[in-house]
Amino acid sequence: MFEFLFSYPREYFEAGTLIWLSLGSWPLSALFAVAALLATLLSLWRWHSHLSLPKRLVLGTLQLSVLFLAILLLGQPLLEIEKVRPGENKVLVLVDNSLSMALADESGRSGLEQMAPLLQRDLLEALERDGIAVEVRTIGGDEHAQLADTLQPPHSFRSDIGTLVESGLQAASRQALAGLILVSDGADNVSQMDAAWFARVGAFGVPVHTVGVGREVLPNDSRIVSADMPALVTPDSRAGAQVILESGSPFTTLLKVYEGEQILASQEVSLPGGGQRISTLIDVPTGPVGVRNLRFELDPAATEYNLVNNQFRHTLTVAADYPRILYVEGEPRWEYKFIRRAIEDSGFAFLHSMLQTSPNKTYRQGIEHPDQLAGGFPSTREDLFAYRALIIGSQEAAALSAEQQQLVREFVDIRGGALLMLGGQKGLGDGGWQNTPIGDILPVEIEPNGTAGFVRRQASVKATRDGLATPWLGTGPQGSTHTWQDLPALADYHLVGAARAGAQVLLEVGLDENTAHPLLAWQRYGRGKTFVLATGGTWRWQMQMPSTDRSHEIFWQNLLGEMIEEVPGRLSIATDQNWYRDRDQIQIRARLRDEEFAPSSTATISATVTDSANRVQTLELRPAPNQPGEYRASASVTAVGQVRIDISARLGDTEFPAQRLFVTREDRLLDYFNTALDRTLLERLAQATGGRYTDMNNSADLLAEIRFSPSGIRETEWLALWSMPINFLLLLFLKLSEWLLRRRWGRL
Amino acid sequence: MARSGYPGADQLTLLKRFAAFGCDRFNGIFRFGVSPLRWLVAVMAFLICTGTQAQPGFANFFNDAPRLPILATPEQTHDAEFTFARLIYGTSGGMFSRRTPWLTDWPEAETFFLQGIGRLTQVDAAGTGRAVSLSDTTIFDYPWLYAVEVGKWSLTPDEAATLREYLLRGGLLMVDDFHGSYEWDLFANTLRSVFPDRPIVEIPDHDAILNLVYPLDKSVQIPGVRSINSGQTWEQDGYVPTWRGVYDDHNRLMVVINFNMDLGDAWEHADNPRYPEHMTSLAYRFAVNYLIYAMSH
Repeated sequence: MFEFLFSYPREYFEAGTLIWLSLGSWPLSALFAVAALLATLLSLWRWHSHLSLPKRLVLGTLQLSVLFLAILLLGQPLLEIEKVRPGENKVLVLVDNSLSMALADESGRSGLEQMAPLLQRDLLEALERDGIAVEVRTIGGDEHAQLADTLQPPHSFRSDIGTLVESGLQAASRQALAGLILVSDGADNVSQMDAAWFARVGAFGVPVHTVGVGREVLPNDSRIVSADMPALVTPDSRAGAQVILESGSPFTTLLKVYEGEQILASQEVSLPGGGQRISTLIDVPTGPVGVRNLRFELDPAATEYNLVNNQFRHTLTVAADYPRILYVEGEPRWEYKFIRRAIEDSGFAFLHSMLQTSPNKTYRQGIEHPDQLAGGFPSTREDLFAYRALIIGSQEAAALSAEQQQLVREFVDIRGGALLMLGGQKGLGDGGWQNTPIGDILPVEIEPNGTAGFVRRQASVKATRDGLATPWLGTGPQGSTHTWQDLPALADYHLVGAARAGAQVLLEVGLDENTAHPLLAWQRYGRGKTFVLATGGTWRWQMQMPSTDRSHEIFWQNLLGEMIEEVPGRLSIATDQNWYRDRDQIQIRARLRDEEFAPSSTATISATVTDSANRVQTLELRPAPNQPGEYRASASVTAVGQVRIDISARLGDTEFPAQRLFVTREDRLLDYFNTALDRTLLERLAQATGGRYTDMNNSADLLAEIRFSPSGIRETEWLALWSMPINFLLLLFLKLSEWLLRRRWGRL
Repeated sequence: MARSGYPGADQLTLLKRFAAFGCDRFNGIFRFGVSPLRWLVAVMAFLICTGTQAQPGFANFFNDAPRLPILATPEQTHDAEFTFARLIYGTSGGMFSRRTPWLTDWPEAETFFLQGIGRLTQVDAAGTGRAVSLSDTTIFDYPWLYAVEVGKWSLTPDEAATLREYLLRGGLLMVDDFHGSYEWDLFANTLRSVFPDRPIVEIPDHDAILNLVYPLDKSVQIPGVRSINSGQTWEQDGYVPTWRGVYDDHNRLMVVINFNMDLGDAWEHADNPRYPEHMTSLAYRFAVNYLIYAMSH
């Protein structure tokens, strides 16, 4: 109807500009208008004795409207439009034919199969009728004659949308391109589509219209988004894996960790559905020295059709590079024994300890050779900095010289080590640690506030808000089935003062409903961390609960694991990923510190990368700009399978012990993990380039956008508006109305 | 759990009176001459007193018998880090079934033991010991347990299960003062009800428990007080002192077994000029090693 009345499609009027061919200047137009007005007034004057004023006004308005319309038509109005010139422009249709688009959903049809006929019918055929050529490309740059051809395999196993769009835009510089149409689920899993990328593609000046395919939430899919855990661990210990899970519908299922067909760990998880993600921590035993190829598996719901993304892999390198922890205890006590057991049984660290058994005797435990710690507490940087963490138990401050206390402070500040001070009848305030170099760096004030500090009375534990939000603590020892409220009371507690500025209190002892004191607190100091655990009585958790319960061990392993996690060694290596899915570039990073633990960029570091086909590459790691002590290199590995990376480093005359790391490379996987529609990305891309986003059911909306595209070869067209049927119908209506009224009022 | 009593406690008053009477008669044999009635009473008293106390000072014990050991209770507050906990157990029956062997050497053994610990170590030890039974969950607040005269002990299945759990959680049991093959068999049979799957093994010389604070010589037999009169360091057919134990999965001792020796007597008679001082000293050293081991392994 619109086109019948106005002769042209609506979008012409939206895109065009109105101009007048014969209207001339405004004074002339005004003269015409005044003349028309005078003529109308004259006509009305003739009827003043026969018709009332309202009737004359009605007739006058009708006559005036006719005259004005006539004047407008005499001005020859034109619609000036700029549109792409038929026969000389092209539209590039970029089809994301990755696997995520080709996966059949519960209807049995893939996104590509659902999209192709709609797009062909509603958009591409209309463009071709307008004389705009259509070229179809898929990921990898393959050209296709027909959109339907993209349905055919092989499909890309990577959604490299960034490269697909950029290559399309670069083609615009060689040909007249009226625009790009990206047909995708937006699930890019390769490109770095950051702000700089969006600015770059916007600078091409070619609108990229995006057609979203699929659904933002897949009701019949659950997946493992990621499974993060250390790549390098110690033997016979436990390593925590932070696993992020997502599902379309809520359900409760099992998360399992396998090595081969052996289940190493399992945990029940409740997924909230609606595409919401949850994070869970699962403890995995590391086993003996070697490589563990771990497989995380999320048991799928019965209706799931994509099972590949219910698995995630991690290659664990188990090396006998145990972190060393020094524990100094001033009196024999049960806490000492059970802390040692918790650490020794887990085997994740060397726990060297010094137990003062009598005023003149110290018993050394866990030492690696007879001379170790034979001279007492370390008094040199070299000796103390060999440790990653230091625990000071029920020990008086006077047991350490002023120099040793200063050394401990430097251990935290400069070396980046972790310090834990425990409560006890000779510890904290009762041990005289106030106003010492060590007492000053603790996270709580250790003045006993005028009361006895150490109290040999049982007390319950409760988590603070910060504690509940701390992943390795949570509602109970993370990995234990108990909450803090379930745990038996501590054997004792040590009253300390308030937390210092910047410190966090994670656990408290609850003396009654209204009174609580800091129990576990921590803060950063320099490069390291300091902790206070104001009790010597966690051993009751071990003795009061069944021997099969591991809550006590888990608490201590988690606490010490947290303490040493970020403590750097002199040489540490890492890769940007652990499981390389459809990626062949491995970024290797090494960090090196000198004997004073200051970052050093003067070392020589090389990496030997051996792939599964036994192809060997030797790379030199280069110092990273603006990152003191950091070295980087990139290896290209095409063979699928396990990759071994051996690092050797030399700083001056010091040869560092060689380090080894394993990663895994696999192909044809990545796209299974990103199958939902990322509408936000597609909208942002359209907005950045001046294009428009639409879903696949409304692709015809893009027709006008392309016809009047600001890019490509364009032409200007003037469309006469005087001949529009609406003009004549309007004139007819006005004059007919006047005639009928005058006839009725007897003034013909 | 409610406080529990201990086997024999309800008969203790009767036994005390009878034994005190008999002991007086026994002491009086040599003062008043011998009559058939006195002989009969004296023999009965001898059997009771020697069997129960195995020491010349038994009369003093029974005269002091109203002083019972302090029972372990589920207290919120403890006096010290270490409390000497004496295991209350039942006996295996027979003609001496009314005896209370778990009380042997009490309270002097603890008293001297704790004084020695206070003098020789940094351990914060309570001044008095406690007695605790395996039917009481309070036992898990005392990770050190001392059982004496275990050649006569008997455990119900529930008690055996509790002791097993106690040891697996990290408690340490020291057993002492039993001698000869007969008592060994009885002891070992009962211990097998606790750990059917774990062997009783010799403690090797290099084990930390024998070297931790004091390097100790296993060849010396620490005798009971009878040796003062008899001159014999052994009892029954227990000629060779033997240090045995039961280890956990991490090669840590859970049960330390002093077989064919009597450390309890050596502590108890620390102030007895007739008891060899060097034996008491050696017993202290073992005690120190055992306790520091229990608090460090």
